[in-house]
Amino acid sequence: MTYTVTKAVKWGNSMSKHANSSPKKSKYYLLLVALIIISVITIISSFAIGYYKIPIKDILTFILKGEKHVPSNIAIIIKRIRFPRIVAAFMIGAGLSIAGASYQGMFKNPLVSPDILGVSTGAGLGAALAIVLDYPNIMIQLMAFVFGIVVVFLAYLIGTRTKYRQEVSLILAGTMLGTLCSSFITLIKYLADPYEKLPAITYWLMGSLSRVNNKALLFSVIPMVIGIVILYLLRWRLNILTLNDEEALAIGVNPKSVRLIAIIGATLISASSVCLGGIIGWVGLMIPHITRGLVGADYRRTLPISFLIGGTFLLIMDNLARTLYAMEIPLGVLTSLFGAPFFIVLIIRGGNR
Amino acid sequence: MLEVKHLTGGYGKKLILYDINFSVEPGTVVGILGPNGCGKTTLLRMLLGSLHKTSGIISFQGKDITKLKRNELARHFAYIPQRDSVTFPYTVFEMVLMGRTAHFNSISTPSKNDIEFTYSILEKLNISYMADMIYAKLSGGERQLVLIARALCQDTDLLIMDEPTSSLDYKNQKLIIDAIKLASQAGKYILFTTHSPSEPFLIADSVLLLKEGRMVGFGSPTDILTSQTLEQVYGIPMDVLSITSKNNQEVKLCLPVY
Repeated sequence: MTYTVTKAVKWGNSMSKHANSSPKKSKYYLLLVALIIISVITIISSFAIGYYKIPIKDILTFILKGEKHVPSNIAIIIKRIRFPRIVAAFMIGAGLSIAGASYQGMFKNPLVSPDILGVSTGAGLGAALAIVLDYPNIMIQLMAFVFGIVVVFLAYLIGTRTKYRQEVSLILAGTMLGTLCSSFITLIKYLADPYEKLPAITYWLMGSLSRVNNKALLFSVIPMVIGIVILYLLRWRLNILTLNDEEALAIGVNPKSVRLIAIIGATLISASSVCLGGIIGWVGLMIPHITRGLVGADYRRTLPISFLIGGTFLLIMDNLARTLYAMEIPLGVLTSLFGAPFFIVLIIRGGNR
Repeated sequence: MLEVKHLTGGYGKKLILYDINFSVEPGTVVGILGPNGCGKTTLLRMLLGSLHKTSGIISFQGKDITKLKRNELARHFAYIPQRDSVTFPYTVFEMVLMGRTAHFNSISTPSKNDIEFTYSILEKLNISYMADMIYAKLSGGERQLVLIARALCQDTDLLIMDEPTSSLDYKNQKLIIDAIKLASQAGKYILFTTHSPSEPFLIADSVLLLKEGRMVGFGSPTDILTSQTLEQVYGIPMDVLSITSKNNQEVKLCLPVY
């Protein structure tokens, strides 16, 4: 540190007149606070929405005074049904968005999504196998989680065999393994019992939060939070990963090791998201785009903002999924219904942020 | 002092460079000249540690650079690549700030000092006005200046530049050359590659002339760049002309004879 200071004096004479006064910075904090408020309001009002309407008054009483001050049936709905589902929706949306943002940077490609290394299809294969083998729910989750991680691990082993431009070979390896997994999934579906297993597999793959309960939440949220913390700690290094490897090395960062740690973080997030809610596409691709449009590319700002926007977005989508229609609409279908037109608009406007 | 002795190396078993010897004094500018494929980039890569040498010694201020840790090396050597395409909308300030990375630990972010230092560098190069502009939208010359700012922000003793003036117009070339002179006056060692044989006469104190991975000569441009050596390197007849410029300075120019 002393090194920095002494040398800084040598070069710089007009110090501190810029520090902390940039309008960009205050704009960022304003946005951050606004998004935190919006997220909190969305979370609280999500408790009210559903087949059984709960008055906002009761929700606030529950939060502020405790569960004894609301009717017991309402307390049970809030605690056992709405709470796990709302937390899951927010965390999956938030987690997938920052995983996607990190991958887009390190693969230097704004069209990359968190499942580029095959984590979702891997998890899908694990789940399909578990369903066919008639395993209990917890095993379906566990198999999904493990298969997702194993596929990414294999993609990493294959992709890093090349010496130069590893980003490209990683994407290729991930895509190929993903294809392999989806052909196995199709095979399993083809062979599965069409009355019971096939619908179960299909429904699982569509992505839905209807099966989330507090136990499942606890199981998935821990690895997810670890992954989020890892990526957040790497936020500055993720900026350096957007440069080509030679530049990153010259700046003093070993891109290979930072990339590995970031892949581990992102994989923990997406594997636990998939095992909690199935395959929910587009969030991790779309939200980072919106974020960069608002606050630029610097990960010190992109990660927190993506987290909040992604969480709020998926929570709203899930609220729609459970209320739009008498029967629940699969969440993955809804996000695609929003995501694809979003990209069409993006292409028409010629934006490549 | 940077000393390179008997440096040999390449990619895998395929050797590109053979027995390179030269040294650089503080505050001097060294040009590395040679035709395409002569091993200029390979030499830079070995200096930057992104390519391992096969044999020989690269020492800087008495230390073997291959024994330094990645971030220690980054506090001694900075690299200025040829302008590259950037996928994401980083601002100029953010790009330059990235140069500070070797000065803090892996999970930290730039401190107030780093931020102030970055602003002072932008001022030194007279590009403060660019701070909030999007790097990817700048012109070639401006980008090159930003990359120089980033390298200066890294606060190293040595700057390594890969063809800093190639494919720039004259005005932008002058901007870059001024920036190089500024850095060398601040006591930095500067190494740059070029494929324009006249350029070393303009800015370099010494020149390293390469042909097919072997050195043809190392010394002051007037000694090394003669029509004989240039003909040997480029394989076509070459003239070295001496003319007097508008501001009454003697300027040397290398011209191919077609």
